[in-house]
Amino acid sequence: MPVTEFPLLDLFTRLQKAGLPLGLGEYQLALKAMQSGFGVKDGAELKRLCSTLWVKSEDDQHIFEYHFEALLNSSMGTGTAGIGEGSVGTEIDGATATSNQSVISILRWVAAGSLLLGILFLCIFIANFLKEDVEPADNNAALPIPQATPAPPSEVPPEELTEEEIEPLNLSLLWVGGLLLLMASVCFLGLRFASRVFSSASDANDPSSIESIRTEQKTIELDDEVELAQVREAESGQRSSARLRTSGAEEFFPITQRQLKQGWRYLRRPVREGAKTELDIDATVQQVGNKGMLLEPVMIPRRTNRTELLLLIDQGGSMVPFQLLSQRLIETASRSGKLGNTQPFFFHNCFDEYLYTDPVMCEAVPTCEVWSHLSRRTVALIFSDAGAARGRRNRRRLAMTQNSVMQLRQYVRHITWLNPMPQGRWGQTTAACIAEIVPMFGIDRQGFQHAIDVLRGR
Amino acid sequence: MVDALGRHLEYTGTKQPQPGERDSKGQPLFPYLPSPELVEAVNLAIVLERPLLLKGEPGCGKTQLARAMAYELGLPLEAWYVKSTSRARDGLYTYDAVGRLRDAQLASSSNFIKEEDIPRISDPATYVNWGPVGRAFQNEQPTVILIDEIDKADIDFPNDLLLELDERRFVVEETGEDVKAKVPPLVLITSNDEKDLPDAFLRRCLFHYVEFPNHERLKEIILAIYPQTSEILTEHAVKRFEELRTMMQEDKGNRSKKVSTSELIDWVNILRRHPEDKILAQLNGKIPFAGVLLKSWEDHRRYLSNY
Repeated sequence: MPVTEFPLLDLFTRLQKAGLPLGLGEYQLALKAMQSGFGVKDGAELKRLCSTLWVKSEDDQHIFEYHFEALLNSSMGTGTAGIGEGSVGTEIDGATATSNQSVISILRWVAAGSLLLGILFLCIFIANFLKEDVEPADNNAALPIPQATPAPPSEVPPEELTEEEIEPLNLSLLWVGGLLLLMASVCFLGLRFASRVFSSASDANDPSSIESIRTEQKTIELDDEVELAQVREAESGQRSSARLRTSGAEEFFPITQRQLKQGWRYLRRPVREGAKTELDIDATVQQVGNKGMLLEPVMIPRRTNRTELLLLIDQGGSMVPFQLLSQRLIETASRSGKLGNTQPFFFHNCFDEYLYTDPVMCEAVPTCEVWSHLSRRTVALIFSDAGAARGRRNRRRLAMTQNSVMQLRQYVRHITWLNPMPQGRWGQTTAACIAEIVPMFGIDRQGFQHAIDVLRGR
Repeated sequence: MVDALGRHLEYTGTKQPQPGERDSKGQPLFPYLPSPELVEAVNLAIVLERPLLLKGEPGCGKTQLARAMAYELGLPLEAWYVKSTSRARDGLYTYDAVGRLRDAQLASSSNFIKEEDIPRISDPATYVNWGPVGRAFQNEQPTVILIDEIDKADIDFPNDLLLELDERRFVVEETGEDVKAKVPPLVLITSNDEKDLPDAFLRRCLFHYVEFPNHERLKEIILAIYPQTSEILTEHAVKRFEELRTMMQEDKGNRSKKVSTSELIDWVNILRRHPEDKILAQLNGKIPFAGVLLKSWEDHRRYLSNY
């Protein structure tokens, strides 16, 4: 398959939907690179080009490989006919292709029309001929043909028609029919010739596509803005229907990895602490003013984020479906936040005397020991369904949770609760009661932002 | 992109320094054998004038690429080694406020400052010290800028560099001077993936993952750096090294540190100083000079006890 036939725009939109940070500029960048001669030799080179331009991490690489192979297979399987609208080749030849299409369709109509008319005339001629053969035997009158053909004047009564008058009429019918059929066959021949010529012309375009990309870039840009808009529209429609799509299970979550990362960044409390490395110009000038001369510069420590986060994650049981989400919560908090220290602990349903340092709950730590390591800068985030998934009220669970939250409150600055179950499911369950003692939010973009705001003390 | 002499810039990865050759700063230069994919990515970055973000295992030669590029293309290199305390502005310029205050003090006491120095110290631009990016922007020639280990700094650091990398200009706040790049620089950024980089920053970069070299390439690298090493020793050393690496890969997966190319180079450097037959015999048993390859007590116990 030539590189120009690869559905590049399809790939781009798929990747964009899968959450890769891509803008229209990145697509143009690929076109620009192809104009400069990159990635036009074969499929492997095109793949390398696209991955260099559009893939930004190892995880993205897997997504990219999946979509690239899928598109490559689909376009290989269906051949030229099956290639999507976004294929580079079709885009490039777009303008010429449409004019070719119109020529071909006109030819097709003319051919079909003349074929039909030709057959009609010949049929009439044959019918006429047969009648002539039969009718002179019984009588010479009542010929239906003159009524069918417009040529003879209708005022002339059929009885008056002589043999000499019918003969040229039949002959002309034969002539017209024959000519029409000839025209039809010429048209069909022309059609075949034309399609062959156009297809070879587009073949000839493929290797030298760089030139044509250059000339047609304007139209491509327009096209692709429209298509991008369409894709976005379609995407937003799909999102609202909350359907699990092929692009990965991540879309199923009400909050994306990126939104989590962005949320954590707000959780900061810059404190000037540590080694004095920054020059305080204002204080130094002040000092010079006071003492009359510059004795030594005044240094201050840098601002660093001293917020420490204690993550308490409910694990197992009703939380099994949300395991991936809790894992993502931990990952984003520890990798992309500006947090001074992030420590996840695990529990099952309630935490009482022990917390666990691993998700499979093997390594137990006494809760009081965990509490003793907390400082007043620590904020706590509890991730649990609080019994909302079970859908009933459990007094024991409520009492235990109340107790441990009261305890925790003495050691940390703020506590908030993220509930993976939607808020509509909390009513009449333990979750509703717990929500009265701890600020509880559903885990979607807004809920997460509110939770972060609580942790910031707002 | 073309340089000051109108040459078309294209990196091939074939021009290697001679043994003992040094760069303009007196640092010894070593041959660098990039993979064809890496060469392509570099040329793409040159043509599209975008920064190239390199990730890969520690010790796979991410940083060395910038020097090799600068050497082959004959361009100056500005390296900016990012630290945990680095701020984005440090790469552009630093302002010597203390020096200015001191000079102002000395001038007011009038005994220590000469008359002809007054105009110089009155000019606020005197106290601007250009950083690597600042110097590169002012160079008439395209400059290779290396921003090394960008993930070590604060997570705001990459975002603070967006304008500088995008529009290739910045403003010196103290003097109001607008610095614009005379020619687009070639920017290489390396990351060890300790922290995630912001999406806005990633969007502006090209990305290439530097793969670990295969057996043949490893041998080529060794022979390029130490041309006197015998074929047999190289073959055996590389084979032993790869065995160890495969074992580590199986034990630890992709998460933790494995032996890298730079460690292999150091290891061969030691091996080749010893009599060859002795070393060849040792290579079949317990790893000789294991301290070069194994950097933790756990690794020592695990991979040396097998023999």
